[in-house]
Amino acid sequence: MPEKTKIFKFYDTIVLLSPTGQKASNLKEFLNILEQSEDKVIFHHLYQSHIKYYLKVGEFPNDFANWAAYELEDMALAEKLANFDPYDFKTVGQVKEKLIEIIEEHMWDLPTIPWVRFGSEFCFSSATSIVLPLGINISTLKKFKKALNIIPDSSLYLHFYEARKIKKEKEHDDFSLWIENNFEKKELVRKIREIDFYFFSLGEIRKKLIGILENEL
Amino acid sequence: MARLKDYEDIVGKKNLNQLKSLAFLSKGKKVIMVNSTKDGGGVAEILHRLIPLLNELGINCQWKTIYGNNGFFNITKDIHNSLQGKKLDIKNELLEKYLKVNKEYAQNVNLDADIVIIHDPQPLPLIKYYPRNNTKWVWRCHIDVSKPDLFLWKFLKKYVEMYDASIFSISKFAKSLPYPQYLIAPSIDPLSNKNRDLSKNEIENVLDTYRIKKDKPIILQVSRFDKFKDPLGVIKAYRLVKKEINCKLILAGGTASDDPEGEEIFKEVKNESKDDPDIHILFLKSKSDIVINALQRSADVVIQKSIKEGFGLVVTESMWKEKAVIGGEVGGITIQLYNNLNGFLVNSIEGAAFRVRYLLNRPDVSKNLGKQAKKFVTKNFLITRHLRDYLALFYILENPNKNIIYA
Repeated sequence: MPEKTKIFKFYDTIVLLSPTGQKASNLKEFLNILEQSEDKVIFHHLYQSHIKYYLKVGEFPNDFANWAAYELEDMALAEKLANFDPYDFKTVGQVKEKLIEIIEEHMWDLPTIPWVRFGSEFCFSSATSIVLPLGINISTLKKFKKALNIIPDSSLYLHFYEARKIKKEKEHDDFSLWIENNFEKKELVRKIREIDFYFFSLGEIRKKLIGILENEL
Repeated sequence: MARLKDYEDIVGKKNLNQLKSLAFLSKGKKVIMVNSTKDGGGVAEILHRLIPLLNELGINCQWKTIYGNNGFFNITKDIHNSLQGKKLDIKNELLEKYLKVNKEYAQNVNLDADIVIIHDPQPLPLIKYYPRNNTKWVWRCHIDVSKPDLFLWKFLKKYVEMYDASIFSISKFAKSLPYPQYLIAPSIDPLSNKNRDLSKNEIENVLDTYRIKKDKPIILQVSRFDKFKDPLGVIKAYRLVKKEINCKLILAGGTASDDPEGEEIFKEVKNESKDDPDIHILFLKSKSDIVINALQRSADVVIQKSIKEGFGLVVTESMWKEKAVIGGEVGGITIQLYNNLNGFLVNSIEGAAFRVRYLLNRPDVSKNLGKQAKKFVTKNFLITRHLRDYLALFYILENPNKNIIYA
């Protein structure tokens, strides 16, 4: 991760999913399990969704909203869970509270509890990540742009998505923080931070970042 | 046999470098995989490709198979079927025999290693009979255990709970267990004879050998002759399609040495189709990989109408060949096919027939779904991703109770 030094060290993350074995067949069960779930479970379903490869990007940005839409077939709930931005919160605990509030309020107005058919239950899961150096260390923006072409998607995910939440005090991605701390490039930092990363695949983010750097350098 | 560098053109240097970095963390570790057959079936096929590559990456990985006679495999087939939900009331003396074979094998095999990975239920009780030391024992379950027969599950759970971790193919199969469970989807090898590119000649040779003319659209299902693959349902679906479109059906498959039921089902299917010259029933011997490859590449539509499925690698194989696949909405097929995005999921004979008709009438749609299917497989279900997950698991087992491990 970027320190005060000018060197940016690229890291990679390898994520292995770890199901808890808990399954919800209806919205009430879902809420009950959610209330008891550890932070790592919430973190996985809300934040690590981005590392999964979806055929259609941007329809719903997290596992909970996808389940509400396609299995529970409750589009209103899916929309509420999609529009809710987990990156607006300081801790996963706060995210969890907000999620519970959204679902409780939604359930209050429902005439019956919606169920899914057998096989479409929500399966709760967490994940273990191994973070390791990629062996790519750079100190100029030109080399940074070059490196963006060769790092794996998982490295891009780590620095651009997960970094925002891996340490509680962080709010920005590693890339813009490094540029802000080491170069007089306010416009470049602003453009990177303006990307609404919630709506793009990792491949699209890579192209966007390279495009922004090309224009600015 | 393919070497790691041979995959560079398919998955890119980035992915291969990632594997090397990850493998370095577990270099020299001794890992033993145990299953019940080296011949036939998806598990054996994966291990044949995965183990040499793990060794190339610096892991000392060995493969052992539990030996048993037909009697043992009849029992384990029943156990397999019961775990997939069939009510069979397996008698206690048969379960005793199952345990006895495991006990005898445990007394005669050397499983001293850093990690022992036991595949499926056949060698599951080995853990009870092998002396415990510092070895991490992992149960790798390839089958759909989402709703097993309760009596049998209670019996087997005692052994499952003795492990240090379990691996399932999809999260729906995970159980409530007192230790970490991991998700590792199976994979196909794009360079194996079953999946590599074939020349026009190779494909024509296969069709000539089996006297299949490409004079009308071909509907294909490749699978073991097994009730859970519903070959009779496929014939019924084909008959519904045939009313509208003049087409032919190929049902091709074999059996594995640990599957004594296969030949019986084959006879039943053969009997059902005997009056129709447009139905080709091919009983394939093991090592028919090029035949399967050629059939999949020749098909206009591929079906996998399973009613229970662990993962369904045969779906993956056809998707890799840019085929639009119609799969039963069960087990691992549901994490491979997404309706109208890269194929179709169906729940009935009528559904299968309807989607076949749709795809035969819309080759443009079929082509596009096939392209998406290949892209999806490249990202998720190739052997390089499988290697990555195993290498990650080896390191995670060494560092338990951590969500993030900084290597």
